[in-house]
Amino acid sequence: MKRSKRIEALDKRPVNLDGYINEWPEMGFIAMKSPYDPPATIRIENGKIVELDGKAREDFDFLDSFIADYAINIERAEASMAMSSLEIARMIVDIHVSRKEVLEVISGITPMKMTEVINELNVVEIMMGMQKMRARKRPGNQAHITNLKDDPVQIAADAAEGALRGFAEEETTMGVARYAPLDSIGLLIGSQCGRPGVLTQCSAEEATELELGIRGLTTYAETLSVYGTEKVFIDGDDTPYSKAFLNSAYASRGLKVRFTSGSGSEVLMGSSEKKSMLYLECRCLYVTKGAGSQGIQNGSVSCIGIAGAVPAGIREVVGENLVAALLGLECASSNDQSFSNSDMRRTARTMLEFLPGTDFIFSGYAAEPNYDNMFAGSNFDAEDFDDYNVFQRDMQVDGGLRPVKESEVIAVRNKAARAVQAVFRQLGLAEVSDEQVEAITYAHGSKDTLPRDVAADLMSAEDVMKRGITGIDIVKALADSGFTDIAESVLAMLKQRVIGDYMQTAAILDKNFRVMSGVNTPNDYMGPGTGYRVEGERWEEIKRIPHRINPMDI
Amino acid sequence: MRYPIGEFERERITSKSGMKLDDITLDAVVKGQVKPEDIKISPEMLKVQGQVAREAGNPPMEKNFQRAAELTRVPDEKILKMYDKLRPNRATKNELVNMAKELLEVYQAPNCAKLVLEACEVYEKRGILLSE
Amino acid sequence: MQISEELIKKITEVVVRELNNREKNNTVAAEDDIPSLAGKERINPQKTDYSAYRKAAKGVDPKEIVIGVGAAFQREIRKTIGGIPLEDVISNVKAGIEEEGMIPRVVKILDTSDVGFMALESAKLSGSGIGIGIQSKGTTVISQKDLYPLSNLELFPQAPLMTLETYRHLGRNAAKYVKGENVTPVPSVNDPMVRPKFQVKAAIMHIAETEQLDPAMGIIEWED
Repeated sequence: MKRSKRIEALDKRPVNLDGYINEWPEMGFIAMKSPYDPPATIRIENGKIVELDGKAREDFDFLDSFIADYAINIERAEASMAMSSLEIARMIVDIHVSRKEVLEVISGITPMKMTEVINELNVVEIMMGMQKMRARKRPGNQAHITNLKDDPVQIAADAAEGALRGFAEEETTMGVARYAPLDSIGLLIGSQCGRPGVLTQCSAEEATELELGIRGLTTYAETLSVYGTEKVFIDGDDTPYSKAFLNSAYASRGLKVRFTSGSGSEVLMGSSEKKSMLYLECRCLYVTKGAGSQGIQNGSVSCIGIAGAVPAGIREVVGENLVAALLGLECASSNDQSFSNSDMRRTARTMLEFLPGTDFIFSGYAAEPNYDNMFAGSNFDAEDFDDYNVFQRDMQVDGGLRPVKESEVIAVRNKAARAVQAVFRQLGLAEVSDEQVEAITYAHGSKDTLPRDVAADLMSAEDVMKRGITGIDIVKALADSGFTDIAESVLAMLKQRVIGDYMQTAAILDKNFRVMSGVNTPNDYMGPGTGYRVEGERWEEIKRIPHRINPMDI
Repeated sequence: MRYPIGEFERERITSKSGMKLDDITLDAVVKGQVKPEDIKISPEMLKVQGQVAREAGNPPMEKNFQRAAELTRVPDEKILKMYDKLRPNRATKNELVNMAKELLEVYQAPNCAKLVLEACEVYEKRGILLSE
Repeated sequence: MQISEELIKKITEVVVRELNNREKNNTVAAEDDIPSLAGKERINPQKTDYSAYRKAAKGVDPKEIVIGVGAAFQREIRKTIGGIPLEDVISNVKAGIEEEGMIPRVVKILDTSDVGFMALESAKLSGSGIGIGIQSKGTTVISQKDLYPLSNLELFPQAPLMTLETYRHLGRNAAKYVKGENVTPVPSVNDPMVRPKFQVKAAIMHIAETEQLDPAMGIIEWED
């Protein structure tokens, strides 16, 4: 066939490198609604749910049992289930109905009813819903801080810069899992060099992550994964009950926690039970709610390649973010995984959370070049910082970041690298040379840094665990090596776990360690003139992007 | 108590060991006077946070704080082991029942014991217990 | 106005006919050259029968490293997601193990397609306690018998980026773990655009693997 030059040009566009697939409900490749989704039903006898979404109690799998016993407000259920899904959907976008009233109605509906409600909303309505239902008044943002070498010193420097740029939370993970203790220490120290009060976590195997948290080497946890079918939950080596216990275990040590879920994981793991991605994700979110978690990281997350491949997949993704908010959960709304070869497509996808604002728009944003992102790449990376700052300025939207000066960036990176060097020396861990500190201070990514002695690092990492090094030891090492202000900040972070305020819904800390959560700073949006507005000092800050014309230079 | 507790009720906060929040200072750390136990949350504070959650309209979260208050009495290694036993295909029925008993009798943790017993019943039904 | 039953019936007939016509027209308009799998429950209609194979035994040689391959390995799936023939994958992993003086044994895992569990089960069968799990799409994990199922010694999550040298290198590393050496893990590689390009394909391959599972057979000797 003689080829059209235009079609040839179009074929070469980056968007056509992405994977797409037809709907295939039998294997779960279906976003919003599967012909196999159950009817939305509930039956209550003697204060107990005996039928849930078309299934009788004796047929319940462990998700059904947990959801029926823990996640649904039984007093409210019959009244809420009697309302039509359309009526509930309309309440969500009606500016005259408060967030509180919506939460009350929603507390009594089943996962399938929730699925039906979201099916009534188009993406703009979903965004309107999110603007009202987000838990915290002010939106926030979270960073990924990782690198290809798992270099803890680069982690510290990138954490410092990320904190300076406005991220309220920072998360690391490793290519080599055994680096976890060292990278957690790097992140903890670095974050406080950039801006006091930034929360940090290390994504690792559940038991390891808990241990790092208990030791005070991290200040929150996020990777408590839940899944929408029993089979996949078991493959994930957990149950709703073990996850609920784990959640309580974290809280018993005073740590902030959020769960993680996201559509597409059941498809990817081959056990979707023919259900729609949205329905399965609703089940995940009900388990999260029932376990008493304050929040969730969701929005397909690492399975975005699946959701993004099917029709209405991205509508589903923002829809599931809204479900989290409707259940009163803090929502860290993904955008955290490379999603498309097309810059247009990846930006369009992020606008759905950026414009209404979520508790954390990204979970997280790669605060390093994407080649260093050990979550296999985020949707936005360090090279997009200025684009993002311009989005905020163009639309007068608070995306959680701020423009920075080069001199500040260099200063905080250097301080963080030196602080880690000093702490490692003080604690007798692997050596950090002055040359490494220098390279990392000015680096963009790990291509610009010196190699580390990996075997020595891993021995040190093991040593940290064996010797029982805790956050208190880090504070002491910082103070003993003259980094008094950082020592004070890390100690103030550790003291948060004695108070526990930051375990409430959607809590973050400001630079004076004052908590801002859905409890003391709740979202009170009810239409124009209400809710969070970008104004005052924050707006001035957003305006000050680096590349402005100076009229005096012309 | 008024939330944020750290802001409005600061002087009433003590850690698990009984150390006053304001006594946890950098000076004390440097002198080696702050032990890991001193930066753990107390069951009383967790109950207070549970009340905050309830007043904010979140009963499941209050329950979580109740379980957490109970788990403050369980040592770190033990808590990791208990979590591991609750994972699928890790424990026999007897082991879970004994775990519930231990939570109840050794650690005065009735809410946690209840969760474990319910898990045990559901696990048995779903075939994810080890055979005796 | 009086509406008779008969009138309603007539109108209904007309409406139904009209709607049917419209639907037909729609189908014509939406004609598609990419086949839909909707309505189908499997990718490969047939399930391979492994009942003639020997069940894998627990090894006793402290030099032995078990390689556990996926259910569809070298049968329904013959190449990794990156296009490497599975014969070459297996021969390179074995060569790496042998270079370091250890002894490989290949089994096929028919009770799970989760690579973490595959590696752990291999480690438990292995005389040395070190095992390697390889999915048919190429994703690989090195594990040790006493680790948590989702923990590992080394994980190679981005299968499309794997090369034969990586497979050989990870074989050598597995052997070094047995010898108790201080092992430098195979350097991580990362391409953020792997997910958009390959994730759907990975899902399809995983379905093709999972549908071949035969839990009653458990684990079988694969290269006798």
